[in-house]
Amino acid sequence: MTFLAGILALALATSDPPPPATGPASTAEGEAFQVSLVPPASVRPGAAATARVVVTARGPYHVNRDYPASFRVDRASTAQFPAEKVPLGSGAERTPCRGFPGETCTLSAPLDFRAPASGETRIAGVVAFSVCNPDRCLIEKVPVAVAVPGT
Amino acid sequence: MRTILVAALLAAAPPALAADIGLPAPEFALKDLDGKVHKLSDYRGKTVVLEWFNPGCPYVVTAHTKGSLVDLAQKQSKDGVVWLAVNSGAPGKQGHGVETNRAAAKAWSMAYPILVDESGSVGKAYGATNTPHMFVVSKDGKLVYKGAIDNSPDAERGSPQGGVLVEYVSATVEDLAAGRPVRTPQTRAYGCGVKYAN
Repeated sequence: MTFLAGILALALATSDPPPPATGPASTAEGEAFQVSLVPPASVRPGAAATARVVVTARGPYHVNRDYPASFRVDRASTAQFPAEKVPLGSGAERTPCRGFPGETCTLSAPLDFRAPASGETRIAGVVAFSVCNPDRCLIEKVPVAVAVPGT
Repeated sequence: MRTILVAALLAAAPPALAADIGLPAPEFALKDLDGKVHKLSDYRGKTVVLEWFNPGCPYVVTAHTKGSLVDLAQKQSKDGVVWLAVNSGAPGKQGHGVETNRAAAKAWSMAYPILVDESGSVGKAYGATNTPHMFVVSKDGKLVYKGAIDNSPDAERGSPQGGVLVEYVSATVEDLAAGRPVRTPQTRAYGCGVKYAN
């Protein structure tokens, strides 16, 4: 019994922490892509937090690695960002395309922000990215917006 | 026997290497949208900028409407620089066709010729891989620059690598005019792939 409890304790200690809770995402879709802005479930007033921007290429398309994906902050945002245009390449997770491991089919990038001193946090902006298939590339600029309740 | 041997050697020869910096730029003779033939050698004694072009490519659209290609040709043409766009797209591919190219030239106030290279032979001789892909030929006919129009791969000058915008073609033309070595003779082009037949 003690042995089993030890195993259980070890498993709990070495398992990954649960992913942070997220709130309802803002999602936009096109023939060649899906874009989501995934906020945290809540944020303390004035605190730093992280949302995620997820770009998924559809069908024969892949995310164009040469294009500098970015999030341009909209005036409707009450969240504070380090710049008006936030690059999405740094720290992004890239999921290879099934059958084409050299290409990225999903880009999931952290978007750091700071909540306002009071009230809910509105995150609004335009995600710029490019997707390509063997015949053509598309440059897309997709507006997304979410509201995050304060705790 | 000798004929057979020569034929065999030709068949086994590797493909010609793409144009390289410091070497004579590959000669060409291409028709523009009005059917007028332009040879590179016609412009010997002038600096020539070649712009690989595809009016259906969003990078080309952005570069011509918001980016570094908006009025650069117009400015440099006043200084005697020759600009030539080259479309190496094959029939049926994106951006092919006289009317499509004519409409783009009008919409973007392109006062310089768009040369038609349907076979792609000139594009391949230069090693053009992207649109836009830029090449600069010096007055003595040598290739002195090949690569991107600038260092902002969003094509709208908004995301320069290193935080400072560098217009490579402008810098090259300035270097040539000043009689100094070209600072950056080669960069990696960004944009769509050239729509060759194969």
